[in-house]
Amino acid sequence: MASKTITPTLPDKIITGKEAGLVLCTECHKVHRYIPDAEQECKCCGADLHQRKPDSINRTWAFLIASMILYIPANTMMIMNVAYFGADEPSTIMGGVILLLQMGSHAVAFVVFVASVLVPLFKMIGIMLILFSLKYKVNMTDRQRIKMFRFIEFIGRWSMLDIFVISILAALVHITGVAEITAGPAATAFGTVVVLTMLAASSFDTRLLWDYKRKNYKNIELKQEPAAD
Amino acid sequence: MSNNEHPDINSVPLARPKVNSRRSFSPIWILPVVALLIGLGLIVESYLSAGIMITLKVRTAEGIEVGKTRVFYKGITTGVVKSYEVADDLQHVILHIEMDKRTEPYLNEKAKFWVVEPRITLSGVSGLDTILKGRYIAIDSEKSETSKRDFVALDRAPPPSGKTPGLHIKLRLNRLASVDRGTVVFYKQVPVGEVINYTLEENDSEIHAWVVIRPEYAHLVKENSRFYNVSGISIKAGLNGVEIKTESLVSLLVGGIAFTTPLEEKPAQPAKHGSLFLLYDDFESARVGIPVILRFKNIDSLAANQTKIKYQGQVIGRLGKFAYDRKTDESICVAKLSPLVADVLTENTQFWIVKPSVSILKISGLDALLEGNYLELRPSGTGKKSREFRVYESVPPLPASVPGLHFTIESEDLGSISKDTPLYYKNIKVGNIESFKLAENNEKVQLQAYIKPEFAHLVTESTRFYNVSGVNIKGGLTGIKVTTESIASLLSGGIAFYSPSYKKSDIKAKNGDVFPLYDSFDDAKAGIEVSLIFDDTTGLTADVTKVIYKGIVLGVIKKITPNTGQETATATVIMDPIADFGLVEDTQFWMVRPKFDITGVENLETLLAGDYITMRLGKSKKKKYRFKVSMTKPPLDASYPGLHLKLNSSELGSISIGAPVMYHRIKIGNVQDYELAADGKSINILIYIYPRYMNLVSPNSRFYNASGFKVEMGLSGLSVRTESVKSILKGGIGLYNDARYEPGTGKHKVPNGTKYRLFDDYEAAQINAFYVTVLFDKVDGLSYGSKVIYNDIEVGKVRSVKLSRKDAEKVEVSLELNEQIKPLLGKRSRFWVVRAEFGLAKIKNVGNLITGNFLRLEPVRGPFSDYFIGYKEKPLKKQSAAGFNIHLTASRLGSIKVGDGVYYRQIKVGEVVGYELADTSDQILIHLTIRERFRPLLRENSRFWNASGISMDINLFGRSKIRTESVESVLSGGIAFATPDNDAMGKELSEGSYYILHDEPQPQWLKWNPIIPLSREIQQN
Repeated sequence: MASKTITPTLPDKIITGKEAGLVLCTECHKVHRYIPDAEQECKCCGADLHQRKPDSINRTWAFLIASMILYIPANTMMIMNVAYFGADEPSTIMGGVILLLQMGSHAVAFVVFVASVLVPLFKMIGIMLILFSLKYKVNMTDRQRIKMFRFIEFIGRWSMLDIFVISILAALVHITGVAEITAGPAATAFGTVVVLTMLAASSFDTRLLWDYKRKNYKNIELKQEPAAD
Repeated sequence: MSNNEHPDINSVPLARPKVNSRRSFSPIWILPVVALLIGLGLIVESYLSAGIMITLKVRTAEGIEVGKTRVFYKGITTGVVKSYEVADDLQHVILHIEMDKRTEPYLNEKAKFWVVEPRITLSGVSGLDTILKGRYIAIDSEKSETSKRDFVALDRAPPPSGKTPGLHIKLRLNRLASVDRGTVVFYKQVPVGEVINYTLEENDSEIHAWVVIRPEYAHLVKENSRFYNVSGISIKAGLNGVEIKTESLVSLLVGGIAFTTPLEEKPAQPAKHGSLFLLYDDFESARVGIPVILRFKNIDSLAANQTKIKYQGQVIGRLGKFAYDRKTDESICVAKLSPLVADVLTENTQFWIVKPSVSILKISGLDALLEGNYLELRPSGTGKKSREFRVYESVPPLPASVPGLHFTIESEDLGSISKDTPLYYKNIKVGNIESFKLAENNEKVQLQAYIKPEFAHLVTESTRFYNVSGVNIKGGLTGIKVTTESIASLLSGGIAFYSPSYKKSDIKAKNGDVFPLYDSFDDAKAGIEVSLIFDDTTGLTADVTKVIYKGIVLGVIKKITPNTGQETATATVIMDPIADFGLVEDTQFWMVRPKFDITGVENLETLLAGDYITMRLGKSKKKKYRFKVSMTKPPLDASYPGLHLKLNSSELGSISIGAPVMYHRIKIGNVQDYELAADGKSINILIYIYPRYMNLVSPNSRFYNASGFKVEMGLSGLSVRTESVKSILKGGIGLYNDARYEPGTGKHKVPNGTKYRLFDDYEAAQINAFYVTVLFDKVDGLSYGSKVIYNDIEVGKVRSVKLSRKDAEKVEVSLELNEQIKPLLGKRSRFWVVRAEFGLAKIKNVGNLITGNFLRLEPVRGPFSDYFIGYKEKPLKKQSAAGFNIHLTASRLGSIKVGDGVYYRQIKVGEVVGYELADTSDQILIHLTIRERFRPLLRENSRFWNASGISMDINLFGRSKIRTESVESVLSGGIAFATPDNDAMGKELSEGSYYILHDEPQPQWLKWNPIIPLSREIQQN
C-alpha cells in the first residue's frame, strides 16, 4: 500500500524483494514471504527457496578458477591427432587454426578461433570482471554488467563447437592404416573448461548486482543524510 | 493481517539467536583445487616424459622435417627431430633429436643412426614405407654403461652384426668381384643367407667374406659344400658356342653366391660355425666328378673347360685343360665325368667328337653348331673298367656284335652317301650306313649297312635299295612335284628300300647279304620290258621320255636302238607291272607332242615334262610286248565304247581333230577324223560321242557347225553366242534335238556309223529351213543374215543377195525360211524391205539402224511357190485381218497416214491401214480397221472427221477454243468418229461399208452420247 506512494523514478525509493522480505521461487516464480534463517520450501512446487543463490560468488569464483586452470592444458596440449598413412600429425587448438589458415579455409579458421579460443577467454574474463566489479569499484553501470552477463550466457554454448567437430571427425575418419583422427587430452580439458564456465555463469546470481547497487545507494544515502542533516 | 494474532515482532523482546560465523570454506573450492592438481599433474608428466636431447650429424637434411621425422627402432618411435642446423663445417646438418627417455641406456658409442629413405636400385626396393611415412631415422644399438649424446649418421644401414642368429661361415676369395655386403647366398636358387661383411686377411692377399646362413637353412651347409660365384651373367663365348648362365635374376643384377653339396660323396658333417670355405669362380670349377683321361689326335675344335661331354644329349662332364703327350704325339685331357656314368666306363666305351658338318649334300651335328663341338659317349656294359680313352674323330662303326642286320649294298659310286647315311623304310629311319669301301675289283663301292633289330625283318631277298639323296623335282603344267624321302635325306642323303609286292619273297635277308643300289625309286621298281617301234625318235630321250596312261607314269624309255635295215628305231621301256594287263594286241601307242596353232595350244605339259608316249588300252586278250608307235593320236576304233557317227558337210570350216561335240554346251564327244566323201564333193567328219551321252543322239538329231561365235546386236542389247571358248578357236560341232526328242526313253537308239548332215549353224539346224527366192528392184541394205520377219517373229534369213541372172538390174535375194510357215506361203505372199524412217510425225524402225534393214513377210495362203516378186515398200492394205474393215471417202488426204489412229471419244479404237486414190480419181479412199470390240460403235449414222492437227477458234469477244483429239493425233494425224444417240444411231453396218470423212466435226456430234454395250474382249494393243 505504501508502495503506491513510491515514485519509480526515484532510485532511493526502489526496494528489492529481499528488502521487502519476499522470496521468489526460481522454479515456479511464486512469491512468498521470506522467513529469515529458515529452510523454506515453495508452497507451490516444493523447491528450496532462497532470496539469493546460496554461496553464489564463491561458487562462481571456484568454477571460474578451475576453468582457468584447465584452459592452459586445453590450449597447450594436443587436441586432435590426425594419423595419415601411419604418420601422426598432432595439433593443438591454435595449431589447428593456423593449419586451417594455411590451407586457405579462412572462414573455418575464424569460426574455430572464435569458438574455441576467443569465446572461452571472453567468458572467463567477463565473469571475472563481473565478480571483481562486485567487490571493487569498477566504472561500469548495472546495465552494462547485466548485458555482458547475458552475452556470456548466450555465447557460452557455442564453445562446444570444437569438441563437436573433433568428436564427429574422430567417429567418421576411422580408416585404420590410412587415415585416423583421435581426440587428444586437450579435448577433455577444453570440454571441461566449457562446462565449468557454463557452470560458473549459471551459479552466478544476477540479483546480486542489484543488491550491490542497493548497498551503494545506501552508502550514498548514508553519506547524504548527514549532509542533508 | 491482525495485530492481535501477530503482535508486532519489533515490540516483542526476543532472544537473539546465536549467530555462527558463516562457513568460511565452501566445498565448491575443491573443484579448482582438483583442476589445479590435474594441471600440475600434466606438467609433471610432461616434464617426466620429456626426452633426451641428442644431436645427429647427417649429410643432408633432405626429407627431414622438424617435428615429424622420427627415430624408429624396429618400427617403434623412439624419438623425433626437434630442430636442425647446418654444422660448422657446412658439409653436414646437425639434427637435434628428442629421444624417448627409455632409450637412454642405448644412447652410447655403440648406437648407430642412419636415415632410411626409399632406395630403388637394381637389386631391390627398400624403405618403401618411407614413401608414405616420409624419411625416418633408424637406430640400432646395444646396452652399454657409457653414454653419448652426439652421433654421426651412417650413410646406409649397417650390416647385420655378428650376433645375427644363423650359421656364420667365412669364404675365402681371391678378389672381391661382385661380392658385397648383402650379396645373397643361394641354395638351389633359394636365398638362404647373405654376406654381412668382408675383410682383407693374410697380409691383404685374400679376402674373407663373412656369410650368415639363416638358422633354418644352416643344416644345408656341409663340410664338403662348395661355394661358387653366380654373380652376374657368366658368358663364355667361343667357336664352341656361347654359354650364358645365371643363378637368378637378382643375382644377375647384384651378384650372388651359390653353394652345392656333392651328393655323390659320402654324407658330410654339417659345417661348423666359422668354417672357412673357398669361393670358386663358377659352378664348373666347383663341381666334382670322376676324372678320366682322354687322348686326342687333334684338339683343333675343342676348348678346354668348355667342350662338353654328352651322353644321349645330357651333359655328363666337360673337358679340362689340355696337355701334350710327346711320346704318343697326342693331346691329353683330364675330364671330370658325372658319377652317373661311372659304371659304363669300360675299355669298350667309345668317345668321339661331334662336329657340325655342313656341305651341300649333308648337314650333321647341327646341335654342335649351336652349342659348340662336344664329345659323345657310347657306353659299354662289358669289359674291364677303364679311365683312359681314345677319342675318335667321328662316330666309330658299330661292332658287329651289336644286334641287328649287317649287310652290304653295292653301288656304282658313292654319290652323296657317306658314313651315317640313314636307311629309310617308308620314311622311317631304320638303320644307317656304317662304313664304305671299294669292292675288291675296284669297280663298285661297298656300303656296310646296318638295320636296327626291330626293323631287320623288313629286308627280304627281293628288297630293292635305292638312293633317295637329294630332291626329285617333277614339273609340269599341272604343278611341280618335289619328292624327297625326308628333309634329313634331302640334306644328308639317304637310302630307302622297298620290297616289290608282286614278286613277294618271304626269305629274310641274312647278315652279310649283298644288294645292289638303284639310283632312284623308278629304277628300283621292277617292271615289264616292252619294245616300242618308232618311225622317228626325235624328242625321245632314254631315261626321260615316259609312257603315261591317263596321267599315270607307267614306264620310262630305258634305251633307244635303231633297227638296222628298217628306217625305224626301237625304244625299250620298262613298264610298271600294273600295266601288264594293258599290253595286248590292239593296244595303241602314240606320241604326245606340244602342238601350237591358231586354234590353241595342245599338250603344253610336254613342254616341261618333255614329249611322252601314251597309250589306249586294247580289249584283246592276246598279250603283246612289241608295238608300233604312231606319231599322232590314232582315231578311235569303231569298237571303242561310245557312238561313232559320220557327219556330212560341204566344207570342213574350222573344225579340227579333237574339236568338241557339244550339247547344251556340254562336251559330249569330239571330232575323231575327217575325210573326203566318196563323191569327192563333200566331207565326212567322224565324231565320237562318249558312251554316257549316247542316248542324246536320235535319228532326228541335227548337228551343226558351232565354230566361231555369233554376235547379235539389237536395241535390246548385244548377244554373243558361242558353244564354248574352245569351239571359237578349235571349232566345234553342236547337237540339236527338237521337241520330238524324248530323253531317257532309249527308243532313239542310233547305230554306229549313222550319217548326219552337218548344218551350217544353230538356226539352220533348228528350223529345218527351205529356200525361196525374192526378186527386188533394189535391196536397201539387205545382206546375208538379214532377218525375215512375220508377225514380228523372225522366220528366216537372207542367205544370199545377188544380181538376177535374167535381169541384171534386179536383185535376187535368196531366203532361208522356217519350215513352219511353208503352208502359209502362197504365191501371192508379199515381201518388202523395212527400213528406218524419220519423219516429223514419226520415227519408225529405229532399230534397223543397228540391226540392219530386214524383210517383212505377209504370207497369203495359196499354192506354194519358191519365187516371189519383192515389194519396194509396204503394200497397200485395204483391210486387216485383225479387225472390222471400213472405208472412208474424202476429198483430200490431209495429213492422214497409214497407221494413224481412229478415235472414239478420244480413245483409239482402230487405225488407218491404207489409202488410195479412188478409181474415179475424184476421191480419196481411206481404209480403216476397227478393233472387233468396238465394232458396235459404228452405226449407220456415225460421222467421221479429220482429227489431225489442232483446231483453234479464236474469238475476240467470246471464248477462244482449241480442240484436238489427242496429242498423238496432233502430231501424227488421226480420224475421229461419233455415233448419234441411241434412237438415231441406226443399224450396225457390215464390213466394207463406206463413210464420208468430214473435215471437222459439227458441234452436236460432240454432244452425242449413245449407250452401246461392248463385247468383252481381252485388251490388245
